[in-house]
Amino acid sequence: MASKLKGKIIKILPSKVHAQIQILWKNTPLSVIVTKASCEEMGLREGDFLYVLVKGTDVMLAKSFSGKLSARNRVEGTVQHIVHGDVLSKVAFESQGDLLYAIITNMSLKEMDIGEGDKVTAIVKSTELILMKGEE
Amino acid sequence: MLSILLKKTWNTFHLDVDFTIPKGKITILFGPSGAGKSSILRFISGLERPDDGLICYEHATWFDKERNIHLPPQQRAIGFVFQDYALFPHMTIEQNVSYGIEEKKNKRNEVDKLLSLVGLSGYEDYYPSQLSGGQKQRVALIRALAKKPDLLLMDEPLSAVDWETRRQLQEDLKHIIRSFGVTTLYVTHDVAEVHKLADKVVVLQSGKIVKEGTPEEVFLGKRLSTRIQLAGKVVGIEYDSIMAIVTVLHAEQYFKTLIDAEEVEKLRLRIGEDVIIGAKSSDVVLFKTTVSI
Repeated sequence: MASKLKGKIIKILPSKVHAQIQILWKNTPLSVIVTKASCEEMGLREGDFLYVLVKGTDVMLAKSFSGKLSARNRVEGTVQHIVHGDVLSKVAFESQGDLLYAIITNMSLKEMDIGEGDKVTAIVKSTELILMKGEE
Repeated sequence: MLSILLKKTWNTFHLDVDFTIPKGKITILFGPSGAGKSSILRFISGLERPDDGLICYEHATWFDKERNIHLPPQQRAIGFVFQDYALFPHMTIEQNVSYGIEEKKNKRNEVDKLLSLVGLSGYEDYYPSQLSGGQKQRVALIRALAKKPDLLLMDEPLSAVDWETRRQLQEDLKHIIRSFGVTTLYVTHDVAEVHKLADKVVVLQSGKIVKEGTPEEVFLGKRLSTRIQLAGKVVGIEYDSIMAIVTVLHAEQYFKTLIDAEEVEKLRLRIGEDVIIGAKSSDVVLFKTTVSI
């Protein structure tokens, strides 16, 4: 499931080809890389409100996370429910009042012993997020 | 260029449009049933008269309420292709096509050339009832083009043929219309058809124009940051546990997308639905197709 997180652009860092868009989603900063062309065509400006789309298959989960990691986006959440599939499972977790999803393998779910009520850290690279303007 | 300004009121429905059709291009009038698309075609062709407006083709005025000008259909140099083909059932294919050709000389040659253009050489002596839906629509198209019209009007020409034939005909229509360079106004409510055929699209809702531009500007636009945005049609949905594989047909290519099964239900995705595939340019891999020896 793709989650839609409504946030505000706080900074745009353009380069020759790309732009790093820094967004504040409630109290959590998010970082999204888009092409400069997309940034211009969408008319993105600091202060704009938009949606950050997070695909469940792009979300990595960690428990008791520590250490350094290159991924910019880390979101703390609490597992609400888990839908078990044949090979994959969908973990729904709540963070800052929004429901987000992570699609992970059953093996990881078992190895990490993830269950309802557990605290998890969701990790997504900046290049995996999609921006959407306008209505939901 | 054809410029159109039309106003018409039927009881509680008000049609009020103002748009242009670029010369030699395919413009698509897109919208749901009852939006007023077919009525616009009837006003342009002269079959009906609007309450008010102005219709000009280049320097010629076809309709002007103020100056009381209303050219009859036969003086507007228009070719019309309908959804139900409108071929003469008692005439052979050759007679149907040659009906549209005014010059007496080389009539037979002209018919042969046109039939060969749509792959129907050898069908001269057939009757419409002996042809498939796709073949009938090809005949209807060349009959309309045989008159060398200034403007070609097509009212949902492919809605009566099956899906596979429709796909093939879209390619053929595009090729034929472009080779004639005829200014075309085409009515459809199929988004995939818009992307395949249109140079310009005019979106109509409840008698008003709500958007116009290229198909990319109108449908894909500037809402998503993904550089890859492909308009297509859902042709398959296969559930696999918590996930679903949604197959989308875009430009003769099948794209298999992996979606959360719950999302398929939430979006109410169905086979035949028009969708846009969005993907980040950083999510693709490229392979060379050439083999080095």
